[in-house]
Amino acid sequence: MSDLLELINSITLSVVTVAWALFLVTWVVGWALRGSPIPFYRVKRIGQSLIEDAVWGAFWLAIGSSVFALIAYIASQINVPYPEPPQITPSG
Amino acid sequence: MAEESELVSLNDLVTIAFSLSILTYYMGVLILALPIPFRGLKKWGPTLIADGIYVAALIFSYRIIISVVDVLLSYLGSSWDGFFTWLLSRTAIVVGIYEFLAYVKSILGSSLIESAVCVLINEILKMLVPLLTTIKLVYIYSLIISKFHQLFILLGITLMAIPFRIGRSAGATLIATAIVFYIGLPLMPGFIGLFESTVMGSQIPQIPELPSIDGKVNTLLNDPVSHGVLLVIDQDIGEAIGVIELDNEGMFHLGPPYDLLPEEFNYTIKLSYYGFEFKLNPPYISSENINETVNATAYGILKCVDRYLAILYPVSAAVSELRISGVNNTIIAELNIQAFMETYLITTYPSTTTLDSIIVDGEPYSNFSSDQWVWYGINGTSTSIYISEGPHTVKLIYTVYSKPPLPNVEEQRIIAPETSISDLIMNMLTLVIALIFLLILLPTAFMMMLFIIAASLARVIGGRYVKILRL
Repeated sequence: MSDLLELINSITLSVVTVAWALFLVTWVVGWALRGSPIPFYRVKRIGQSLIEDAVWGAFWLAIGSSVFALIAYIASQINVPYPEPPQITPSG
Repeated sequence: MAEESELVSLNDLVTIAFSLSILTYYMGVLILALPIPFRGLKKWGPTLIADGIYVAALIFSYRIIISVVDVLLSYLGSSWDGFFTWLLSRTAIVVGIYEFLAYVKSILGSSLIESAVCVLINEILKMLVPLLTTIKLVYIYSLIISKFHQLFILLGITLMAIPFRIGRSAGATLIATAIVFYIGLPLMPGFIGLFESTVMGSQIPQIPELPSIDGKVNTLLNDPVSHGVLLVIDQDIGEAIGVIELDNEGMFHLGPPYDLLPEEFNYTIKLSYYGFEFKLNPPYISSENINETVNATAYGILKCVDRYLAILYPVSAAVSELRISGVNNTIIAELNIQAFMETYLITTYPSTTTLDSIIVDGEPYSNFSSDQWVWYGINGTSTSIYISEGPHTVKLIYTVYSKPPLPNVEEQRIIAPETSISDLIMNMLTLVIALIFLLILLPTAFMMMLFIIAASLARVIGGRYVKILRL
């Protein structure tokens, strides 16, 4: 049982780590595309959307644990306490 | 969470589901952060994030779902206890019919009246098997639902929490089924009750009680006639329709599970014992004696000493005193007889007993005659002692060598000729058909209904299935 839980948690942890890394990559790539001296509007637009997505991603990443904590809090307000949500720390 | 020490505890499941929802959420974020600018792929990002949050909300409202379901159940005025009681009562009815028919069949099997009725009974018995199977199936299904519905709901949520909506529809179906059946199944008695009155009339069917008579045969001095044979004679036919062995206490039982008494009857009863046949008082048993105990007395037998010997009552004489004494294996009987005219004192005994000496008025006596008899496989002797008019004292000395064997009676039980049996069986047939409608067709229809409701609820919970191929 705890094996499965550990597996899921470790996957989550690596997903979070990779997500942070990817956010940086995407952000950089996005700016690179946007700032590249290629006069194609479509390329620049892709860069723009990459930056946007990356920022949104970073936003959801950052507030992820807060979101679940909020849900748990609301639930605990209307019901008996539940098991503590597992803590995910991005630093891994 | 009370009753979980099973393989997977509910708490563990909650934790797993929660971890899975977090994983789903971060997968969504990861996809959002991918530097690959494909629309189809990117669309999964927000979807997964939303899924993660939705399932997390489901997990935390799991308790609320359970209690809401319980509240709904009580609002609808049904309970699982009542449902199980209902199921058991229906099982009892079916089993009762089964036993009744099997019993009637077994009685008929030993008589000549079988054929047509037996074929009919066989058909009905065959119908009862699927009936019992269906009830049992519903019972097992309900047991599973009532016991594990919390587990099912949690399992469904866990399935829904798996990333990329892999188990979403399966999970939603599981949740919906558990909820709908948990609320819906106890409503089945009410649903079937709607039809019950139209199909079967207002009352729950009663399995007919078969008539029975208990009785006891005594001698004049109130000893039981142990292992005598009761002859039941139909006056119309004039012959014995029943030959019934009395038990050790002289008791007999007419009725289930051996006899099928008609509704109306009036039979003469006689006692056969050690080579003689005796009239009984009362001389008849009739339908008025049903469910009563009949105490019949054989006035012809003065005294039975266990099964070792019997002394018959002398005709036209009065016995003022009878003493029985015994030492070791000797039995002494002393009688004071007042004979009104010349008569015979008869004693009858099996071959394991001998009559050693006869003393009349203090003198050894030789004016007697003996006859041999064979009675249901027992050999014996009856001795007639001449008694002249006037008062006499008679002393009989017997020796007992061993306990006499039991009579080898080929019993003939009373099977009422046709009379009410066919009616009874036809009623049973109608009843069984009604039960098939009520306990096979209606439950099936009801379960189908619940499945359809569950399917639509599953859609509500799971949303439309997102095709991965459209990625």
